[in-house]
Amino acid sequence: MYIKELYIETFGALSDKKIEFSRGLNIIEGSNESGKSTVCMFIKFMLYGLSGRGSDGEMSEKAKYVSWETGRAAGKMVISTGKGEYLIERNLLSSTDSQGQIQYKEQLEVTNTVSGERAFKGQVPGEAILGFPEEMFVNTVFVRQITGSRIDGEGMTEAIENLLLTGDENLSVKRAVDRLEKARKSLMHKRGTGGKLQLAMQEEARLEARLEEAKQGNAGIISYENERAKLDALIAKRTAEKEENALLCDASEKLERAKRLSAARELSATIDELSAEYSQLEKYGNLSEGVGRIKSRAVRLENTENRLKALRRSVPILPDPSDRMSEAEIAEAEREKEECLAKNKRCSLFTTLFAVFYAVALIFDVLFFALPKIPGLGFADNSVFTLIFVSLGGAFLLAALVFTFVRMALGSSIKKILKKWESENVARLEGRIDTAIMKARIFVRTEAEIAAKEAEIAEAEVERDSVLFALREAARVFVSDEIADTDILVSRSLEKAAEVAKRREELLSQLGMAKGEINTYSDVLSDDMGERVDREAMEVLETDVGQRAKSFGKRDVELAKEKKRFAENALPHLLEQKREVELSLTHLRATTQDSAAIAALLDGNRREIDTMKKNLLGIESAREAIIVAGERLRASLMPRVISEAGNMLSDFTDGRYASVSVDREFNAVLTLDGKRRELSYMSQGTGDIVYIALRSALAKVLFANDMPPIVYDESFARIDEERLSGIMALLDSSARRGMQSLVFTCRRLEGDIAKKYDKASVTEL
Amino acid sequence: MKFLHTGDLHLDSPFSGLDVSKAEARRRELRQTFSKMMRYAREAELDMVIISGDLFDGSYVTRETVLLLEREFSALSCPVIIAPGNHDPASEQSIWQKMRFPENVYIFKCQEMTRFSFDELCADVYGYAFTDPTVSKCIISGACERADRINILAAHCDITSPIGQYAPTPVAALRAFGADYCALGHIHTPDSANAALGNIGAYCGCPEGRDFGEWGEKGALVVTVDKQDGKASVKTEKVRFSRRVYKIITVNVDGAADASFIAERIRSFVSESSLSEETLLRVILVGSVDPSLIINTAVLSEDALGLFHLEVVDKTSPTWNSEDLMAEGGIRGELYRVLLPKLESADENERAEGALALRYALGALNGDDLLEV
Repeated sequence: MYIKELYIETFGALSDKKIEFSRGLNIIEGSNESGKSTVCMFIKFMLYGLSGRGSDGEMSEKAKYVSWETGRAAGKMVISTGKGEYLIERNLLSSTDSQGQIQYKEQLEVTNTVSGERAFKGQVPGEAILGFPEEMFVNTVFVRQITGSRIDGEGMTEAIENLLLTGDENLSVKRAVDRLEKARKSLMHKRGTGGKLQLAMQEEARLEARLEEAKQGNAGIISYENERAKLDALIAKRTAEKEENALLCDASEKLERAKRLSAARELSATIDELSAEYSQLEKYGNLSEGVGRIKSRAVRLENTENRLKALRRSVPILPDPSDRMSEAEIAEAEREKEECLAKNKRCSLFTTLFAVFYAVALIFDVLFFALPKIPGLGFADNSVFTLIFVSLGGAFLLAALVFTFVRMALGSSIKKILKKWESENVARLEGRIDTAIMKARIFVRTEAEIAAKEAEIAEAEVERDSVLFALREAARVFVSDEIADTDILVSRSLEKAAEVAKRREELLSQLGMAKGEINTYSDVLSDDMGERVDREAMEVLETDVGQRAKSFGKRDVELAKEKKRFAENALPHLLEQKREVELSLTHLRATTQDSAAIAALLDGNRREIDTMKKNLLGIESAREAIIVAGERLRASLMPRVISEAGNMLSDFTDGRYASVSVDREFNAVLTLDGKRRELSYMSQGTGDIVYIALRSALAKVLFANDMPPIVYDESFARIDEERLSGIMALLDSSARRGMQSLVFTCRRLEGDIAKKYDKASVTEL
Repeated sequence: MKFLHTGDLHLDSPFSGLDVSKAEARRRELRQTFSKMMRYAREAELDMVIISGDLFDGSYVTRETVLLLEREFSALSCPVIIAPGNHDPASEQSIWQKMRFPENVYIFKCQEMTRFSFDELCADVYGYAFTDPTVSKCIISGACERADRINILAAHCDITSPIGQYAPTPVAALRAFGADYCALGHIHTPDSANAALGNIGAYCGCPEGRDFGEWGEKGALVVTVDKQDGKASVKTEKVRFSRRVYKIITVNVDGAADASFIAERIRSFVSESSLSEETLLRVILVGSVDPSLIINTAVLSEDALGLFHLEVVDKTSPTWNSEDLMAEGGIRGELYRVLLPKLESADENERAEGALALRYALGALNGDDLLEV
């Protein structure tokens, strides 16, 4: 395709400008700020319109090129393409809406100049006619200023690399990859401190910690407030307990004081009573002396009584009067006793004699009768024997009889005596008589003793009476009753004395205690205190607390005191606890953040992280895709571009530069006169030519169907004449191959050089 | 008996995605919604308030909220029954165990079925509490004990997932329990769950949406139960209490080449939809846009257009005029061809990655400052 002509009605600073172009090399001369770049942009405007958004802070194209004066950008352009010749008319109007926003409205018409019919309605002319998008057109068609560095050495390498890899010298895969890498590092790493993502993740960790802290802080606040509420309740309870028990203690104390006062008064009365009683008891005098007297006298009395009793006891009992015997009778009795005994002896003797003589007699009798019977003895019929035996026997018998008569007479005499003495026998008679005599003697003696005793008794009685009197006198001190019985009197006296003593002792003890005790009531017994105590007690009893305290026992009072003490001891601790809780609360409130707000920040942070991770993934995918795309392009594009460029160079140099190739490092290598030479070792002019050839070859390869013109906007401004000549020659050569070139320049040099080429046109802007 | 059935307020939980001041405003509004419900219960002289769990977010609860609860509950003359949920479990350290609530508040505190009886209402309320953030079994067992009374079951549970961690409960268990009404909580947008429950009860849903997953008008249920001769008839009425409404729309921005075009599309949609400041709107951009257009959703979201909050989500694909790009012989065209498989992937994430990669790659080639992206 080539541009035949254009008409700028109004565009940027230009207006009413028409330019016609040749099919080949066109030099458009214009001074600085004459609008050369504006014309370039106009070409793009015609084909693709103007962009409404600026990049890198720059104004948008619309804002830049819509005339401030006219509020329009309008013009026409005729292009010739493989599909036909078209007139493109565009009119862009700007207006300001009610909100001050600039609005644009555009009218576009593409007309087939041959048929006159509207074409490509609703389409972008550049895309519809040329078949490629704006960006591609701009990047491929417009050649910006070629500086020395871009053609020389590395600049050329980079330019070639860009051209071959991207189709646009300005689009550098390497730089794009570097940018992506920079963006990636920006996310991941930044001078060792971590990139945005890392920082965001660190912030996430910090926010998580803050959130946890805030949650705990909030929970702590709630917990502390709950604790404080409990402490408040407990403090109130303890305070109430303290006050209540203090009141109770106070009331109890007052009531106790009243009780004490009452007790003191009672005690005082008691002391008075006791003292009075004690005074009463003093009448008994010295008790110990009195008791001593009583006792001693009682002892004496007892002794006297005992002695009297003893005496009385010792008064022998007069024997039986029948035992009385006079001396004559006693002598008589003794005589009779002697007589009887003697007689008894004699009687016994005679009895014995009787018995013996009788026995002998008997024996003789027996013998008398027996011996004769016994043969052999010779007693039978023995007269001697008989005589002896009868004589002896009879003698003995007679003796026995005499004895018996004597005995009988003695016995009768003895019997008389025995009868007198009522004794059964002589053996007993002696005893009887002795007894009688003894009794008689005893009787006499006893009578004498009795008399003596009676005298002694009388004496003792006198003494006793005296002692008794003294005793009674002594006892009367204690017992006034007339008590006949001395013992009873004494015992009662002693009892009384003991009683009095005990009572005195008791009284003394009680008095002592009472007086000692009453000292303890000195606080209530002072002059005005009693009245005050009474008054206070009355006042207390009028209160509920007082009524309660009234029924208090000691244990209750102790309990109330204990409770008050407990409450008093507990309160400082509770207040201290509360103070600590409030300190903690204050600290927590001051330091605890809103957990929900932090959570929201954290959520935002996580979303940001998520976005960054996605971005990172996108960046990495983009990097990979660019590299792959670059490789593919390199594989597909490079051979064709190099081949085409080689053909162009060969044509241009009549075969001297047979071909150009590019190694992996994008170093261009020319085959010059059959020899391979690296471009970097060749002249700048050669470099220019190779670059232009590659640029043109690229455009031809990319826009195979309809190659657009290449627009050089001040591209050679810094290139010297010699180099420029080479470039112009190449462009002219390319023109012969059907490539239109539009060279905008502020110099005349290009035009001067181009004029020698018959296919070139030079126009002044 | 007429009562308010609510739950899932999540008082004090953060409002994600909003800026600090709006989030704070939303938290305030949530507390106001709670107060509004309590005021409704007072003015309508309801017999009871049942809160089926997640009244507040245990992790975030503040003293202000605790004071609010105490104040509002104290002002009610009817009983308030609370069945703590997974977000406010009745653990040892929880407010349910540590704080003293007004006497008209009845709180289930153990993870077993228990009952509160209200003789004046001839009603029994059964329920349980979460004591841990997760419960992996169904707590509901047995049946109502007194058929002559109005029997209510208050439970925080999940009827939708049998292997869930939030008291998974089969509908059959609820039916077998035999309550006249099951006052359930946990599912915030319960339309389909309530359809599954039928007439045995309902999820109250949340009374105030907190994110775009809880779109539409929100509120609580006012339930009337009449029981005669052992048979109960139940009527439920949904009452709106939500201050704001979350809404999601999709805007097609096919052909967009610059942000102003998109902003204009959004603006015209909002003005045509008659949305008001009560709305939090999420605009999902779909369609095919210029590949080199980088949509800065943060910038687009800055102007709330009279709404309370506007959020723009970019789900466009950078494939506008992709044929030209496809046909382009240069790096851009090749880049597009390399990324085409991802751009055309059935996986949304991969498509998004491809779109982002294309934008980044084009931006990098253009020399854009990618650090600003």
